[in-house]
Amino acid sequence: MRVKLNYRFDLEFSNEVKDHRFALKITPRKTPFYRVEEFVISLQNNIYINNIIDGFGNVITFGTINNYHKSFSVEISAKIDFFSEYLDFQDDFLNEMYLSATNLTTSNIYINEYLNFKNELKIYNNIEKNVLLANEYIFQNFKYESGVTDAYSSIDTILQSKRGVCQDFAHLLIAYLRDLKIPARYVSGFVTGEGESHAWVEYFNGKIWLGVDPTHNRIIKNEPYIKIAQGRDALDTAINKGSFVGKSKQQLKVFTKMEIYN
Amino acid sequence: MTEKNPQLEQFFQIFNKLDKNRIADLKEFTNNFGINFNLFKDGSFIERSFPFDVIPRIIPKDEFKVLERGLQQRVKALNIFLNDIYSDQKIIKDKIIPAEFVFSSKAYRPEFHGVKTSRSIRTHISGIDLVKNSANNRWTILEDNLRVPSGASYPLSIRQAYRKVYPEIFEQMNVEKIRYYPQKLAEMMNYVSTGGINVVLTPGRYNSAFYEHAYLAKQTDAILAVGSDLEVRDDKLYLKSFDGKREKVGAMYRRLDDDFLDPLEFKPDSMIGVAGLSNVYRSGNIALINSIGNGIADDKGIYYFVPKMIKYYLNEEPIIDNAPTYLPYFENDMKYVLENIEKLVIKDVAEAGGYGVLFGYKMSAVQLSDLKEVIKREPRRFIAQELIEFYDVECFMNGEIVPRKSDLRCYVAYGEEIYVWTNGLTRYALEAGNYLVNSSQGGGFKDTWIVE
Repeated sequence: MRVKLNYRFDLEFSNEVKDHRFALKITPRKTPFYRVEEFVISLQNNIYINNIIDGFGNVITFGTINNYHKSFSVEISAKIDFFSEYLDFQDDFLNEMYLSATNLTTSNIYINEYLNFKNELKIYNNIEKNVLLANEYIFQNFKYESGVTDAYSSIDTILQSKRGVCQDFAHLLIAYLRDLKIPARYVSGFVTGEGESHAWVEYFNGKIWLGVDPTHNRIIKNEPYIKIAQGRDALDTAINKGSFVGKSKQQLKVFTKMEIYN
Repeated sequence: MTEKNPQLEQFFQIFNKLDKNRIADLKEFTNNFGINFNLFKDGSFIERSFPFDVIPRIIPKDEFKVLERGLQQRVKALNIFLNDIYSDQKIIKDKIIPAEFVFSSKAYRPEFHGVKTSRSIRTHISGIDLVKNSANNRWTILEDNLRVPSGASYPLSIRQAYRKVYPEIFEQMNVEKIRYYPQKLAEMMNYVSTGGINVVLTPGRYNSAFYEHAYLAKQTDAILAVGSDLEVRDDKLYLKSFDGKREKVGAMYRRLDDDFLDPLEFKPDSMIGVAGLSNVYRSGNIALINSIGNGIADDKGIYYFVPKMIKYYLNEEPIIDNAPTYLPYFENDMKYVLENIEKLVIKDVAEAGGYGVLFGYKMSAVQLSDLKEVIKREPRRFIAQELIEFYDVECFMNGEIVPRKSDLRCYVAYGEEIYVWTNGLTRYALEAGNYLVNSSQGGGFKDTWIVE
């Protein structure tokens, strides 16, 4: 199966900014289930970029724009050939690294339902069953809605409001799995359709890492998922981080389109 | 109990004959030269001079030789540990340290896994805190500081004044010279440099140790810079000058914590770092002094494992003791801690500078039982230590000699060789009976003399 991905974001500044530095995580990772046949990253002219790999194996594209500017756009296009079922291998870390709770995957307030379900899961001493149950539970009990949580929300926000986006669904699943001592990592990337980038979870089944998507209540098998970045939680995978000189508000527009083309 | 040695007696014999008014001359020096320590208290800055006591802490040279070997051994092992943790993690695979202790630490930086540092050095400057145990007469390690240890400039500058005010003492006593420290720092920076100039990066003049940043930059011939003087281009770091020229930086003694170093990687609102610096570090194009992620090695929970590290990496017995420490994480230790909490010191592993330290004997029954509950709930968060009875040092306060609790921070520079500075920062508590000597808790300092 071949897919075509176009992704673009436009950052508009209310006032001109300068000395802009950015770090993008936007390059598809290498995986054992797809091959990247073509990948192009397009930026405005006269931007020098430099690629480096972080500890998680994510590609960071670092760049600078020194002159005054009012907008910043990044566009990528990729053609990817999926030739096998979704799976991945251990990265450079011991799998135990993905058992430690992070700030975003920790609940700091007493929420009865959360604790009850945690205990309920402990009855089953079976990784596959636990993953299925937790995935299903999150899909059934939480509503997909943007604007309730933000990029820095911990699972307490989704637990209290019962609403969130893919990032929150993924964090919640990670919290349940790590609590059961199942190594779980956060993955950002793209799925077919239009809209925004996506996030899901990988867990270690004792041999390999498999994908699970609580937003779609899906154990990922043959559906095309393009992996961009992975880490302990969303903070390890942010698509764009920037710093600049100038007092300015920012407005972000994102365009994504991923389709199967043969 | 106050520590005595023949060298200290010799000091008093000379000192007692001299005019006490000279003490005022020495104090005036500390005021004139701006030896200040800024305290951040109740939401505002208090700039105050760092209290100084005229009676030096004297350590006999043969005793210091043992300390020297012990500290070289310890820093060597800690450096190997950091290289291991950011590459193969053998010490976890071999089950010397439980994985959880490393991975759950906030100071662990997996995003920098695999980064190779120049000449495999990460602990370029260590500040190791010790006390001398009065029960067994042995030095004991309290804490390793491998991130941005401060304080070296205070004894450096006071010694100059001391020699001027009390030349007779230095004529009659064989005190080890200390002026080599800046030279050793400069040599170390040159040794690890990736090519280019040396820079000291300071958060600016509101930082509690700004005096020291400026002083050390001057003494080591490095350029003192703030974040906005520096710029990342491609994968290298440059110092900008006003005429638009750029000079490549090869080694940077950064006096900022990891969290503030690079807004693209750490706290996004940090205004004092350099955007993109972490990628220069990843590319191997800068020697950062000290390296990023060192906090995993001076974590209070990891402290427990340092003697094991020394055996594991060096196949040697530790020369200097750790304080007897318990980890509630281990079942037996938890039991001991809960049963003996009233005589233990409980430390929160995430806190530093004397914050988050609880003395069991000072707490009420209700407080103790609350603390026990927290320990049971979050065993990884705490360590417990026996209260060590350490020697008092003699201080000259309000015209009389009084005993005060004190510790010693030894500085170790790791370049071509591992150099233990023949001085250190002796800190003492201002009030009688107080065990907390940290500068941020209002302690004072003394000069430290290594005497033949």
